[in-house]
Amino acid sequence: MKEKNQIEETVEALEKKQLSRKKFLKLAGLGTAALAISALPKKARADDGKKGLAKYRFAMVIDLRRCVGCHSCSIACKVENNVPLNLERDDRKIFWNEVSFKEEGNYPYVRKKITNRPCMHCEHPPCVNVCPTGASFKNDDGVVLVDYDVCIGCRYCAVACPYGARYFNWSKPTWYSKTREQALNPDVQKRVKGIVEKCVFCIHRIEKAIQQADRQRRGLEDKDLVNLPACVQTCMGRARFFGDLNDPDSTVSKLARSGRAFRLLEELGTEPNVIYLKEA
Amino acid sequence: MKRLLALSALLTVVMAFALYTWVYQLQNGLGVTGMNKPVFWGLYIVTFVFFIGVSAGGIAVAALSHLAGIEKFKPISRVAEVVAIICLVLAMIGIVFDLGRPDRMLNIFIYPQRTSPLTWDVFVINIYLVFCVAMLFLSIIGKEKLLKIFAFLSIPTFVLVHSVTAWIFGLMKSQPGWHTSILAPLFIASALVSGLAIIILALFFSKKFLSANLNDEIIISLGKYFKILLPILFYFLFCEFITVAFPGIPAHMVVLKELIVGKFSGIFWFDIFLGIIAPFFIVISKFGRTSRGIGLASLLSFFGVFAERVNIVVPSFYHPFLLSDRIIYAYKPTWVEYSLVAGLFALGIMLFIIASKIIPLFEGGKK
Repeated sequence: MKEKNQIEETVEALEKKQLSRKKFLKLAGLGTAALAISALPKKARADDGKKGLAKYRFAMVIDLRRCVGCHSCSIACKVENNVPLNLERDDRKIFWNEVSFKEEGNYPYVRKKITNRPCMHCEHPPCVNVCPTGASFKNDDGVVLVDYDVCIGCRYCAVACPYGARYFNWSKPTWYSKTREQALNPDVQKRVKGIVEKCVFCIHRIEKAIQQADRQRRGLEDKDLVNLPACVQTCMGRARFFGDLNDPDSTVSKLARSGRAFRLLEELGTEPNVIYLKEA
Repeated sequence: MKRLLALSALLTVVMAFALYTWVYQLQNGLGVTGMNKPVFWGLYIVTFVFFIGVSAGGIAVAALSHLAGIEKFKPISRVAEVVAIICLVLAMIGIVFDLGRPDRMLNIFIYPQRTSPLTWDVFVINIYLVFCVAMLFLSIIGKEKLLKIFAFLSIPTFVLVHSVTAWIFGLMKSQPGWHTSILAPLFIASALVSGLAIIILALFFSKKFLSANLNDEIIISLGKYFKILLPILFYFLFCEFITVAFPGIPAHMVVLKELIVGKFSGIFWFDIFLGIIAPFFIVISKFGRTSRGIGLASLLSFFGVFAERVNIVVPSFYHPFLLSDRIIYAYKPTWVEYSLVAGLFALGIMLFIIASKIIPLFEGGKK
């Protein structure tokens, strides 16, 4: 009996081995398929594990109930990020953040809806996939950036962005006076004509905050981030919040769990990292 | 000869002016064009897409003469190849006009991003160009067998080039009106129409200016293919419009309305009536049995396809998904854009004249 059992066991083991070999071949086949698929846009495989590794997932929450439409976020951004002043044409002005108004209803039941729109820093940014040179990219912390030195100015990203968050330098960036030019922010790279630019979540401030936290041998905390970008810092109604969505206890995470939370054009599947809170 | 000299002089003037315009544009940036936000792409991209389409004629005639073995098209197969090569070159120059930083254009090859349809397109166009040059070369040195193999291999490349060019638009979910699966087949159909038209126009040109000895029969039998191609093109367009109109999704409907009754209705109805329906009836009528009739049909459908390209690219920009209070200014091409596009056409004709002097164009298939 014992012998038989042994034999059976070996047979079983062999079968298992074969099975595993078959499995291996299958896996190899899948692997080649995966290689082929990897040439497809990144969004299809963005979820596999990489998300868990990212230390931060920077996000912004905008409370529309608190927004009064004063445009100071747009202006603070423009000053902070050396955004060119070029005023020659209305349809070519550059504002990394835009505030817009929409009137609804018939008198006397009217209301004014305010939308303010930075870059959404999507989880699956359509602009990054279409860039032919990789000048548009997403850094490890989920911030979508443009390498101003690589961009060839084809404007495909601006076409692919459903939010209209991208701007093109149609002419040489100007500030119209020497004084203004001397007052530019030394932390932010000046752009040249013929390239695309957009909101970067004040990446230079984020980097500074990370350096400071590193010096104190700690990670970034909510208090370092919540007021970090220029638009958030300047908002007089405190309608904007910044922070890390990977930290479930951060201010933005808490607000993002609110019943009022929604995101723009959610149906397109871009998964924006800018979350709005409905007025009502 | 005198006529040719006068034409060459005129073309040189147009090209010289375009060169001046380009320097002007390089100095001042793309702000000298009519493009704006949100109309990020304009006449340059339209011209690029158009010339890519027009290059299809080369492959079509090559397939007919080398693969289908239609002997009467052999004498014009070299003309077709030359025209295709010229169109591809023009398309590539056209895309350079559109770049904000043309000095960095090699970045596409240095840091290619494989997920971008634009990268795919650049690579596929270059492969296509190599095929066309190879076929012309093989035809000149008379290697018939190898030529057949190349003609066979060029068919999938042809499908790929026009599909990938369509996917630059068709894969974008961000613009209403673009995200449709008919776009790639539609691009192939309109590429064939405009390609056939340019070959016929090139033959007319050769007769008139290069004193080529061509009989009308070739032109008439080439023109017969319009009878199949134009209805197919019309059918694809109809499929596209009914798919938008029936469900009536507002974001897509506004673009369709813009085409039918809005700012682009002039271009749209020109395309439908003069670009598709009129040439079709010319070709099937008695007039279509004369070379003049075919010439007129070609000219009409040539510009019809150009109008169609305009209407694929531009109107969607007028209606972004996210409506802000930003006023959308109408896109009006400036003299800079017209001058550069005219320069491209002039360069194309000039290159054809030069090619006719170097290469025995009309002797393909003769032994």
